[in-house]
Amino acid sequence: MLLKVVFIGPMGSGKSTAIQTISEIEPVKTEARNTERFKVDKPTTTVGMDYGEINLGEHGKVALYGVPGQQRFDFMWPIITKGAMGAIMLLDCSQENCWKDFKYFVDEFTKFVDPSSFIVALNRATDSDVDHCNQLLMDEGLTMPVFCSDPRNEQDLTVLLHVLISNAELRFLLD
Amino acid sequence: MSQDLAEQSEQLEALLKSLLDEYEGLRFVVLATSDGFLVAHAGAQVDKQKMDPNRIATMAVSFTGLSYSLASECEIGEVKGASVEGSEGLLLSRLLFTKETDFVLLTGFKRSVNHGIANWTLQKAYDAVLNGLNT
Repeated sequence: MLLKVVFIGPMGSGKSTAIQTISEIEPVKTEARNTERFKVDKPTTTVGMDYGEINLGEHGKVALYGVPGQQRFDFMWPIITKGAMGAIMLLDCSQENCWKDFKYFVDEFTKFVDPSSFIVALNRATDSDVDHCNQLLMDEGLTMPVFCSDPRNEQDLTVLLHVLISNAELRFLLD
Repeated sequence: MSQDLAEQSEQLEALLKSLLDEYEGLRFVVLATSDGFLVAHAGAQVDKQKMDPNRIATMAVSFTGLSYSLASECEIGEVKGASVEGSEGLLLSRLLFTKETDFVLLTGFKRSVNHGIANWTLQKAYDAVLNGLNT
C-alpha cells in the first residue's frame, strides 16, 4: 500500500525541512538559489518538488511530497497533489502575511485535496494564533485539526502523520 | 529579482534577439533566474500565440530542476541540457551558473531542427548568455 501525503504552505514555512526530518530515505530535492532573500531569508528554495519516504514494512510506505510554495509555481500543485490521501499545511506564524497566505492556500488546495483530509501545522505559534486559525477555518465553513508543530521535530511530524492516517481510516470506514 | 539584473535585462533581451537572428530554426529563448523569475526573453510573445513568458520561465525552472535531480539520481554525470520533443518542435534547457545568481536558459526550436543542431545552438546560446551576464 502506498499512501501519498503532500506538504503544502508558503515559501519558508518548513516543507522541505519537514520532509528532510521525517524521511527515511535521502530526500529528492529540486533546490535553487533563492533571489527573494528580502522576503524569506534562506539560501535556497524548492522549484520542482521534494520527495521522501517512510517505510511501513509489510504495510507499504508513505510517500512524502513537498510543493514549491510560491504562487508562480502553481502549475505544479495539481500535478503533485494528484492522488494524495491527505495534505499537511505548514504555516510559520512569525512570517508577515501568514494569515493571508493561510487563506490563499486553503482556497487553492481544497480544489485538489478533500478538505477533510487536511491537517494544519502551525510553527512558532502562540495560543492566540491557534484560536485565530480555528476562527478562520470556521469562517470558511471548514473543520481541520490544528496543531502546533516544529518542522525540525520528528516527533511532532510523526503525530501529524498518525492523525492524517487515522482520519483517512475513519473516512474509509464511514464511507 | 535584483536591481542589477533588472538593469541588465534590456541588454540581455537584445542579446537573445540577436541569437534568434543568428541561428536558423531557433524560435524563442527565455532566460530566468533559477528560482523562477523571468529575466529576458525573445520570440516568446507573438500576437495570437498564447505564450506567457513569465509562466514559461517558471515552468522551465521546475522542469530543469527536476531534470537535474533525475540525472543525479540516475547517475548520468554532468547535465548538458534537458529536452522535450514535440510534434511541432523541440525544447532544450540548461542551468547556467554565475557568481551572483544561477539561471535557466530555455531554447525553443522549430520542427525542422534536429537534436544535433539544437544542442549545438543551445551551447552557442549558453556561451553567449554566460558571456553577456559576466560583462
